[in-house]
Amino acid sequence: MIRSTRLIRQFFANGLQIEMEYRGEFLISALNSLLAFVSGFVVLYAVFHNVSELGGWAFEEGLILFGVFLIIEGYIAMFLQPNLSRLSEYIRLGTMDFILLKPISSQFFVSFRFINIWAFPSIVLGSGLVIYGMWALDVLSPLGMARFLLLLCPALMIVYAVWCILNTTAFWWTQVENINLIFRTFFEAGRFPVTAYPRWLQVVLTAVVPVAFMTTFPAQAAFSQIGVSTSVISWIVGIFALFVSHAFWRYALSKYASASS
Amino acid sequence: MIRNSGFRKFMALLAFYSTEFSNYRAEFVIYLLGGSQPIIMLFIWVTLNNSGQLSGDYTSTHFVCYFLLIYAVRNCNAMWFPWAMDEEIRQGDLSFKLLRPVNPYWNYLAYQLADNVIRIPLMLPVLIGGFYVTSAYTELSPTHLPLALLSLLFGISIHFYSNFLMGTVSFWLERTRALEMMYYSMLILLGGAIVPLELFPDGLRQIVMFTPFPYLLGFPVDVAMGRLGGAELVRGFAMQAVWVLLIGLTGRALWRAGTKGYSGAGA
Repeated sequence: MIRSTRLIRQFFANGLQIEMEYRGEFLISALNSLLAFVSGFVVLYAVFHNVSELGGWAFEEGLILFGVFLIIEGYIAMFLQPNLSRLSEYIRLGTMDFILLKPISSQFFVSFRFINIWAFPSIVLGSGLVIYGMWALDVLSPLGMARFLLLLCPALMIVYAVWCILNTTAFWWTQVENINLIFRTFFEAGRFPVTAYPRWLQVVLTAVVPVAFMTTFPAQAAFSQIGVSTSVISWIVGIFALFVSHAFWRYALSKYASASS
Repeated sequence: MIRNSGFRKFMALLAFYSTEFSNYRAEFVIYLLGGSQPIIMLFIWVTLNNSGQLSGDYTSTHFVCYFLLIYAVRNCNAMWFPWAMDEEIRQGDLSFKLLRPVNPYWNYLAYQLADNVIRIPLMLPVLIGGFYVTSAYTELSPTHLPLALLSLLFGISIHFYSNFLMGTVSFWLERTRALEMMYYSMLILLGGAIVPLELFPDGLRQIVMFTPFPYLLGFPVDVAMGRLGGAELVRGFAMQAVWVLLIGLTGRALWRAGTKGYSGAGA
């Protein structure tokens, strides 16, 4: 455990060094976040221009949800994209073999080696939106924040697990850089609360592709008393998802025949 | 004769990329699922419409038809060739392509069309099945269909040239993928794939109609459903032509400047 935290620190420092070479990226990334924010806001505004509530959610509540959406987008761009989407390349070029030789968990290495710090504007904008929304609804309090974070953690775990599982398919299919578009497609549904969808689709978005756990529940926790059961279930799903991603990783490795040797 | 041999070369490229794409089985799953976002939006709008909150007399079939068509149009727009261009430029593979007797530009066009060859047959059953089950085809305006097809072609051209333009940026910038992600989310958000353009508040819609995005997605669909009057049609087609020219010519200029100074890193 101590060793992993030390490694994470090392990875972080090294990642920072690498990123400093791409300082120009900050501008693109900031512009990216800003445009994602503006166009997402335009869409949300356009929806609420036509309706007063969306699946029982008011505009400010929708803002909080959009904030969560942006935080997760930033989290993906910062931690998941720079790491997991490299897996295809590792396998194709044979670098995977070297990673397997390293005396640490290969899943850990593949997942946390790099960091793209330039993605932080999304996270800042998203957090700002969440706080603004809570303030506008007059529910901004340390307890509310704590509740929000309590539900955001499993959301991040689930997002990680889904990304990890999708990219692990590279062991069979090799070229899967584009598989993340599948995530993107379903994640788009998370712009709106699951309650806005028809009943059967709510079930799909909760139980099959767990989008509800990624955005709806954390947002809900920020502005209302979310049930204990939802929190507990979120954590169970989060831990279970991590477990599945690890099991799937090990299974993939056991089938892996190496590309170069 | 020369034209003819050029055409044969192009067909060879098209056949090559179609076969290459069909090699990756995973891509088929991605093609099928990756473009399905408009279908999810279909359900949200039908639900919203049923809740009776929408002003204006929309029927559920209106939204079904709209989003099925958005789905179809979305699937006519290839998803990932700037990524390939970016890789080629950075790893130096472009040098080999430049040596061939075909301008790499035709490669990219073949790439886009091969994507269409693979993806349109996957999309059509969903479209036709959806129309058949829901009878949403009644919302189509048969007299406008030829025009809609024309605007779709214009839209595909804008998309192609935008991708080409983004690809050429790789001559100067590392990691242009952020740019592409930005393009795709703006396309979905402002193109009408989440909120139909006619439901945008007036002021906002006027601003959005100055961006290229509606002309790739929402505009061809609105034409097919006969939602636009004569003046709007003329304006829309004019905007499409302007964007094709503007983006196309910028891309061409950047491509020329880029290949001129290209030193073929890695080759």
